[in-house]
Amino acid sequence: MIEGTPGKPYGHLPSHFNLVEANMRLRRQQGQDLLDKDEYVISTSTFPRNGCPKFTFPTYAPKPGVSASSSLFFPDEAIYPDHPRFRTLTRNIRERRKAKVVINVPIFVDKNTPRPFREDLSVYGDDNGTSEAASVEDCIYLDAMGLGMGCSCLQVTFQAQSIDEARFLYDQLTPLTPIMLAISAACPVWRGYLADVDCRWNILCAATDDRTAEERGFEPLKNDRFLIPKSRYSPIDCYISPESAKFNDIDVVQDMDVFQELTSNGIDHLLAQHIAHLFIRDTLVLFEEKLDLDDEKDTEHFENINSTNWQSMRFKPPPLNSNIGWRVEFRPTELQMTDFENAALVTFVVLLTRAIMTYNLNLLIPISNVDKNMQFAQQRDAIRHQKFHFRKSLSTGQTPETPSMAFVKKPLFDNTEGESEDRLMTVNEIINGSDQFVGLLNIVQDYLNNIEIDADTRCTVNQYLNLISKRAAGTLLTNAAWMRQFVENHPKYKHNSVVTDEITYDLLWKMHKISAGEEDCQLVLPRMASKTSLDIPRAVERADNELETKRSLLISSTHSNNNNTNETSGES
Amino acid sequence: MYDDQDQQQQQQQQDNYKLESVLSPIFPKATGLLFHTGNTLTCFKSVKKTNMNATEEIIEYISMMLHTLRKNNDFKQFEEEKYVKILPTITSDEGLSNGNANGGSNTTDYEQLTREDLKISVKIFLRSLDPKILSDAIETVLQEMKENYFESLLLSLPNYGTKLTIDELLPLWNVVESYMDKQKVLSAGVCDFMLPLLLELCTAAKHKPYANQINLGVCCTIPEELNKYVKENDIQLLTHSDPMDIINDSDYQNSLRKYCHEYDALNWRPAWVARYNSVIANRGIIKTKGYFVYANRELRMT
Repeated sequence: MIEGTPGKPYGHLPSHFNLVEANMRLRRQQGQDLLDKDEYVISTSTFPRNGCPKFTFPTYAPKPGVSASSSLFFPDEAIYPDHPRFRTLTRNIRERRKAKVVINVPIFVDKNTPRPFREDLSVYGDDNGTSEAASVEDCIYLDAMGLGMGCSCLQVTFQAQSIDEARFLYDQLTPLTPIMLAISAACPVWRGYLADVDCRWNILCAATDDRTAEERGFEPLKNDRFLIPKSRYSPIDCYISPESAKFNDIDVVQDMDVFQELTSNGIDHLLAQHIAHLFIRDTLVLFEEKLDLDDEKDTEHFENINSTNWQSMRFKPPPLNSNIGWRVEFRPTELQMTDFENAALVTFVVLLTRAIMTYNLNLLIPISNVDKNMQFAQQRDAIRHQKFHFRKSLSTGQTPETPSMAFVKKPLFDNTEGESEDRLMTVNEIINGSDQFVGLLNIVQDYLNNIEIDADTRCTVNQYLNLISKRAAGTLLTNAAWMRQFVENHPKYKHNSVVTDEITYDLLWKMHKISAGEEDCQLVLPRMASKTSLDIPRAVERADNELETKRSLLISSTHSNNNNTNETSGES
Repeated sequence: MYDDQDQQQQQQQQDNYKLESVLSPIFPKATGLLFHTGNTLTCFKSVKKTNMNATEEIIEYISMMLHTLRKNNDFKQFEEEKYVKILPTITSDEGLSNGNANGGSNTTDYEQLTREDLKISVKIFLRSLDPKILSDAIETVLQEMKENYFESLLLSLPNYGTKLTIDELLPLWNVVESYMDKQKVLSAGVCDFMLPLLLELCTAAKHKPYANQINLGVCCTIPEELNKYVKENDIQLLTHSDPMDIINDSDYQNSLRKYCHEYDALNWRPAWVARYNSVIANRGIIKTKGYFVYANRELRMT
């Protein structure tokens, strides 16, 4: 699993949306160029046979009881060897938990799937039956951090203008996390079996769960401080803007010392709560060189905790002495097999933030409903079959009265006192709208119609939005649904939920072809024909520069005029 | 369905105003009529339809403004006027950069925006080729918006400028250039131009257009020649979804007829429309959007 980011952030002009796809493609190409013949960088959220016998090359045997993960399936050699971080994380999570991590993924029951489905785990090595005890009937049992963290995903980080805007966007994007998870679903196969879920999220929550039995509520609290309902990898537990307080309806476990220290130093309750909640976790990895730092000058200690709380959103304060700004990271999206799709998802999220701020919208629903949505989102083909809690009316007091916003407005005769502000909607309704809901795409289109955007970028963005529209409507499949279909239709598939080496090979080879543009996949995405490019048009850059020059000349001449006026009036 | 009761009430009110029909013309002496919608991103009146095009939007806003006028029964002010201006009810004294009054959940309220934070763009739709009308339009927009300059002006000509000759175009473009020389317009572009007109303009012009705004429908199928030319000459291709004729005489007159005296609707011909917006530079957040619609007419009697 390789994580790649652009060399520098994309800029602020609409034309920059046209760079994303080309940049993603470039990064993968650069990785590909370093590989040997017959080796490929595959764009997928999960390798379907992670944890199967001989799933690596060269092959290594797992060493349960001895290895860092103690896993029946995942050898230490599959953990990146050249940096101690991942092996250390693996071992420390297990040691803190005082047991292996436990992941049970519901299996997809097909015609010939044994009922009940229960693997004989003893063939993988004897571990005194602990794995047997931890595994659940009709589930695919996993037991290593690498089986979760070995997944890939799609994350987008963007800079906010201020801490207030960062907090605002963090909150506003939270209700979108389950929706984007459902749209991007790409993980229907786990350890060589077809699962009844389409996403990686719950697997990741369990794969990095360092909570002890006490913390999980199975034993009374004696050595540990808190009863903690969620893993440190989880959907967020609270909104962080003061205006969002009423939507925080679940208990947030906090380190009260941290909370007191923050509030007594002027931090407001919502932000203090958020930080105090992050700090209930222990450090998982700490390098000797980073142990003794001057916390007045170095934010590493904060980052240590912040970066090992793996959540659906992340609020990122700037490091000291930098102008990098307050950032928000949107983290739930699964990785798609083409750069076109990945760019489309990223572009959609960022455009939504612009539209939310332009039209003063509010998407908030109780955080408990977001949690529920996260579970709905991971179900098999959730995009077509599930309904999600979503806010009924996105308007606030300042939502404008443009024609499309009219649909967003609350009813004038609001006899909905006490009635909830959200209801269940399909992804289709949320994205494409209905006669009762405006549809997020319509809001984005309205925004695009009102900004100056060059034709190539508009062409590209329209294609991205078209993809999202069709996927939401169910006329295009998610990656997960397509992968499932591929397996089901494979001549060697025995309808017993088993995805063999051969089936996996054929699947990944097909995905590689699609990703490289050598083959179409009309079921999942329209023929890729965006106008993406690595650079913004020279005309755009030049016009922007010229405009800035003229504006700054005008501004400075205005200021000097004002100064003259002041001097004159002072003298008289 | 949330809108039903509201819709019924509105319809009722509209009917009431129709019933008490206007006994005498509201602006009997007017030969010039200007509508300014003000910032439509903050006006609190109910608009029903979605996905309107620019023409429908304009008609809707004109109707809303006339409706308000009727409701407030404030006609005396126009009785003697030759040039009637129907302006937004909330006027801003400092141009566009006054922030919103209260906190709310919009973070741009936390900032005090100054003129420097904004980029103002204006698109002028001309319904004739008279250069005087264009300069009047630019002057009016600057004046009514209380701005000294705007960053971008796009010029849209009748019929998307097809069949336009360079000799007809140049006097208009010269008007634009004069405003650029005075630094009241910082950059200017054209709309829907194809080759050879674009090339002829670039050859003859002192200030070349920085952009050519084309219809969204063709943004994915731009003629190769045009694409090549704009790339070589650093001209941006932008997009719009505006119709060929932004508003025609009869639609305009009908809007007036619904809310005013029959005589008030007579003979009006929209001469130009301007659509403006301001965007917070560097952040892509739209702050204001509005329209100006100017029409004139001849009266047989004074």
